[in-house]
Amino acid sequence: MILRITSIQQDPSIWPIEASPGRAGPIPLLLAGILLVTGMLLTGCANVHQKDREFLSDPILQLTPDPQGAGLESHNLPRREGSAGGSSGSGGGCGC
Amino acid sequence: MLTPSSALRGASTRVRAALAFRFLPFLKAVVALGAIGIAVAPPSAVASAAESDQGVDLKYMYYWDRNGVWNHTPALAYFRKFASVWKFQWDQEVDAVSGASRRLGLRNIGRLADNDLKVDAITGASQQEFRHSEQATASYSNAGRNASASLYFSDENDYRSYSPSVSGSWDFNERNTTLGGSLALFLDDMHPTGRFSGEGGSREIVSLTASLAQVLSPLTLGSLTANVIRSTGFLGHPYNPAVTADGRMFTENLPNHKTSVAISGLIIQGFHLGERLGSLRLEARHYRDDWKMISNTADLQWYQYLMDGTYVRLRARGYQQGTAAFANEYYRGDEVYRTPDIRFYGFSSLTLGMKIGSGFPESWGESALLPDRWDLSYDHGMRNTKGELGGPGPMKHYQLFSKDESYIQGTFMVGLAFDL
Repeated sequence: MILRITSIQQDPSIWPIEASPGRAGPIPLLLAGILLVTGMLLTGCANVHQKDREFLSDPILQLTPDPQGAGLESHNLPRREGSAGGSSGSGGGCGC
Repeated sequence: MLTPSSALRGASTRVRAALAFRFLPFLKAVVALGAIGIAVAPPSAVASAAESDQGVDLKYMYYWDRNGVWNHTPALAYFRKFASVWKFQWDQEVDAVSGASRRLGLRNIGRLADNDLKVDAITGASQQEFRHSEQATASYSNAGRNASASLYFSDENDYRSYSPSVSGSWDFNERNTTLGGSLALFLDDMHPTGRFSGEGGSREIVSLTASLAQVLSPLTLGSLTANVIRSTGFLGHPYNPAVTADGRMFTENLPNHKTSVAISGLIIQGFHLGERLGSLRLEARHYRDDWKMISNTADLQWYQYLMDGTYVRLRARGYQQGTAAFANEYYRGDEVYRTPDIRFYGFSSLTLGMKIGSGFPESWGESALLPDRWDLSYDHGMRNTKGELGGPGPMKHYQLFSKDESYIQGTFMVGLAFDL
């Protein structure tokens, strides 16, 4: 069934929240990953001269082709989908 | 008599019916958008957004879900450039929403002359309300160095938010590489009225973002973004009480601090289909926080020009999240932390979307009153609301009906762009 993607299961027994405020063990792993991929991006490619970037300036190859639409979505989607981390939106109205 | 083969046929029919129900609105939207695009797109459209010194972008977003909840959100963005390096932008947004409570599944929230009063007595949630937000941004851009500062304000009847932010980026390596960073501070205050008056409180959110974008080839661009968010203060939601096994209700109680980290990677690969430029975009995002929430997002988009200035975008987005460590289906009532908030329970969702964009006839560009470009999009979301793998599910907390295990929602957006 297409929607039944395996979810990450949490074990409540690992939750002494008072004992571990702010604990974020996997963060070093994430930082290592960022550094690794950053190094690959910076060293693994030759420079592309400005005159060869004609296609990269096209709107459909921009990092954010529609900033206004993306902003509306990032405000609405987490609220309506009920998601905690699927969007970069972090504040600015609770929708409640 | 029920035989194995007839049972299989029955199951197959049910599966087909369920799939038809979930995908039919999306297919209808695809056909409608395609027909509108063919009818409206002129043979010779304005190629794309020209570098204009002044412009207005209008957007209208309409959200619906299967229980009659809706959003109407008109938005306006006005920008003007000065002395070729300065840019000022004003963003205005208005929300008219119904069913603002996150209690998915409650029927007919926000419909006049329906069960509004009953719903409101239980949840205290707004039946219908308005929110407005404004943002002013000043940017400086010169020789690959960019800096901007903005101030955001949002207000609704029970929630107010102020947010100053700054950002900067630097192009180097023959402008093949861009390093960027931003800092945003949200000063929010939740002040419920009516039955829940006195609940709520203030919260402070600090969001720090670092990004790296790299040109990898004449048709390839990649980027990495890392985001750390620290939230402190009242992080809960007073409207939805946690429920014990014997039906007693307790106010939600959440820790007063949270640190979350998200990392996302985006790769954009351009290509030519015949003579027409297209691009594939794949974005992956991983999120985790110290409430033990983990989520993953994958978003694949295919942009394709069909004719000069007219493109279509197809999209598939998958999302899954786990359950916060303190979230349970029922509570005893003596827990330190308890929440019925559906955002802290596991689920997965799939969103399929289509967008079409084009220009108006080039002659329209001579008048400031006529738009230069338009776009139309529809995103169809299907959410598996049932708790998974035997974990705590939000079904009972949210009084969901069994058929709401697969929740259907959709978002239309229409945009007009004016080069002034």
